Amino acid sequence: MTGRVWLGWALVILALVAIPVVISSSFYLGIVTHALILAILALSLNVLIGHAGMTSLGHAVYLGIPAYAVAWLSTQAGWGPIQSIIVAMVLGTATSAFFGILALRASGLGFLMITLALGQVMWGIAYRWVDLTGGDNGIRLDHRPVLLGFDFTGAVPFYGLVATALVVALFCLWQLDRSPYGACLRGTRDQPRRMRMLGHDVWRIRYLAFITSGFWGSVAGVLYCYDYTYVSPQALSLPQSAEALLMVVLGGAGTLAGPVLGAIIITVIKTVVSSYVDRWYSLLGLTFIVVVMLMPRGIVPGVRAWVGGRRA
Amino acid sequence: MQFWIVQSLNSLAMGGLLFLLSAGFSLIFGLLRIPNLAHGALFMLGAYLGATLLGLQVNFWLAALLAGVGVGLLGVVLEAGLLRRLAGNEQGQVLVTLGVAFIIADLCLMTWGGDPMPLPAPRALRPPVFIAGFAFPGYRLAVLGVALVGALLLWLLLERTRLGAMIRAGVDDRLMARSVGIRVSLLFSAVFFLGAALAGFGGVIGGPILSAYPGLDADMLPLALVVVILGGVGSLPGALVGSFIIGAIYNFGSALFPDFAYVLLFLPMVIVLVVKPTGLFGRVLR
Amino acid sequence: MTVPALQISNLAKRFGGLAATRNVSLTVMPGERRLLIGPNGAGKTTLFNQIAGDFLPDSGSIRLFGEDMTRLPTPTRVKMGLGRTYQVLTLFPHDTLVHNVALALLGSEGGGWVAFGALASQRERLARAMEALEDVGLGHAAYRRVSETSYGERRRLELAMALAQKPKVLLLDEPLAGLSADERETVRALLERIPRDVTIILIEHDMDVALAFADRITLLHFGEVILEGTRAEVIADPRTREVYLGS
Repeated sequence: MTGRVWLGWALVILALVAIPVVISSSFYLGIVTHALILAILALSLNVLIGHAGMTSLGHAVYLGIPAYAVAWLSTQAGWGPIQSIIVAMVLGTATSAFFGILALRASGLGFLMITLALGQVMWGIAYRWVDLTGGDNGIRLDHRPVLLGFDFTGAVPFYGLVATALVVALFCLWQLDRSPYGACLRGTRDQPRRMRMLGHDVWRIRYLAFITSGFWGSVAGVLYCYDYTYVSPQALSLPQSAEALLMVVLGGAGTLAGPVLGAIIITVIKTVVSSYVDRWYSLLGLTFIVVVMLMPRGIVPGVRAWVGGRRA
Repeated sequence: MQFWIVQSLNSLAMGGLLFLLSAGFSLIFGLLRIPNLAHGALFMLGAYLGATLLGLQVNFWLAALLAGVGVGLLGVVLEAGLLRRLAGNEQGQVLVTLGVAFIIADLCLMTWGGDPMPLPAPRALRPPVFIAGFAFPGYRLAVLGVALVGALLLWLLLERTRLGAMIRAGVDDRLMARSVGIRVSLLFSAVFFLGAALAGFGGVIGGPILSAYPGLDADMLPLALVVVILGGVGSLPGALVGSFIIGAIYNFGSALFPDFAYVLLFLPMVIVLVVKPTGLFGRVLR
Repeated sequence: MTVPALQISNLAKRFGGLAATRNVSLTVMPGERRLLIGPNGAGKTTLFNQIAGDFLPDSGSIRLFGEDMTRLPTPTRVKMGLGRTYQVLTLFPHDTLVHNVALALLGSEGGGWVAFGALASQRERLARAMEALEDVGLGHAAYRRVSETSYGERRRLELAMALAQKPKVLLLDEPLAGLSADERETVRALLERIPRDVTIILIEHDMDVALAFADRITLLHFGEVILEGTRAEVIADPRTREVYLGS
């Protein structure tokens, strides 16, 4: 690895370690934790949008379905955390395996519409199937889990768990991006017909990407449930999918830092705005329009280009 | 027996409403290649505008027309002001409509508040109509009638007028249409107006049944999507058939298995996607 | 009795009212250089598309070294030894030349499912990609991005990618299109150097180069094979003039 890459990783680890030291308030640390969970979600969506070139507007299902699984198994079935998490991960990933088959019947706008429709239907199920999901009331967990001897009730231990998950996700997705599979995935984004003519099974490459994004989204989903120890249909909603999409696009699709940056920015804005005024959705909509029209490539590529331009 | 009749008619009325909603969506997607994600919000806006107009004692049908025109004009502003600037960037256009959907929904909440506002049906249609000894809710019959008349008018527009021929040409092959001299940008605005106006009009027509409430947009949009996936993009017969199928499933589902209404919606969509991804009538969903 | 490299039998394809391919039969022997000619719209590229598997014919069959591949998906045909270049360049613009060739190698050799470990550190594969680039005279530009190369260099990259896969049958769709006289000469020389264990079917409008290169020529018009033969036979045949100039 080059020196710059080592430096990048060192900075990331350093920043993550420094945060709980610098931020003593558990309230603010909780906000950062929430942002990092959504960063994992955004990173998972980035596999689809940035690397595979497929825009999904139904990604929140991978946040919501595992979250509901953990919540239901913990409260209704009385399962322990390890079993609940495993089942939730399997369920979330299996959902992506199923939805991938449906969504990949089309590409481009068709793919977008199908993912949107699937997401909305899941939201509708969460909302209406009151016996299972509690409907609008959602499901509340008693407490955060005790895993491997650690009690994650406190803000700092839970932050540690989330930060570790984020580093693992970043590492795996970084490897994926540089790997032969990552190159092939980007190839299907840029020239799908050519890829077929070079011998690549484009459908299977995309399908694997779909499942990968579902897997990492499920990681975010499990953490999301434990974050507020609460899950509601909101987790599966279109605004949630849209926020995840905006995080990727705002930060810069196809980069590793972009979705993380986007998640932090959107979470901070949302928290600040929501404390003053009720108009978050208007702001979300406006931000969408502004980003699409004025900075479609996102922040990270924009900054890179600017820095590169100055160096030249 | 009475229950089944009422539910059947409710389904048909729901189907009619869905047609008013999805016909516009399908036309816009078919011609402009934009899935207008603000369509549910436009429907909801129409309903709210209707509620206000009815509160001012405006005649019901006039209110529906005015709301339709108003929402239609908003649609033109959206198309000409924002979407046209992103011509060629299909994904960008979709995201912009999503942003607009959020803004419209939030502004409606701000303007009209959080309580549902039922729209009063026209007095003449409130009593039930008796046919063959069974009671049919009068207004639902009217909704069905309006939707069918609307479908007929749309069909006449598309098949029998020059505008319709241009729209169909544009749906089939946009580049070719432009090269034979069709003023595509004007056509786009006209179609967006038509689609949005149908949604707004439908919102008022649906008002006595659904009411105007925050979240109406989120409830209607997925139904429109499923109808279009089922019936095929850009196909009016597809929108008609799909609307009635989904209307029936949604309505009977909600009445008989309220917890599973959305699961029941899920199934035909999955089946169509697996078996015939172009929808029952449509062309490639790309 | 040698198995033909490519055997097309009674291939037919209609698009709605248009018969794009009518009862086309073609046999190309191993090592042959076959030229497809015909006016625009004759169905040459459509034929290539069917051989490649972009879409399925209505009837007829396509055999590669005796194996029926009529209904097989494109990637399978590539694994069987089929290669193709495109008339309109389809390269990966944001990536380096080496990366482009590496993608080709991953397609023919496998290894595209490995999701760990940098592609950039696979020395052996990159070395072979370099070789393929050097074979077409692009070794010096290996780490340049495609967007930073000239049109002529991109045409040669397109060829390098196809050749790197060591195809048994190679479809070349107008490899000289849009090139200057110098560039055309470079590419012509490259084509001549392709070994005879690669069978080539060529669509090309530059008649000087094409006629000199080809062993046999097939003339297509309105989706049908009008005639086929050696260079001399085809040139002498009056039907050739008719097809190009109208009778």
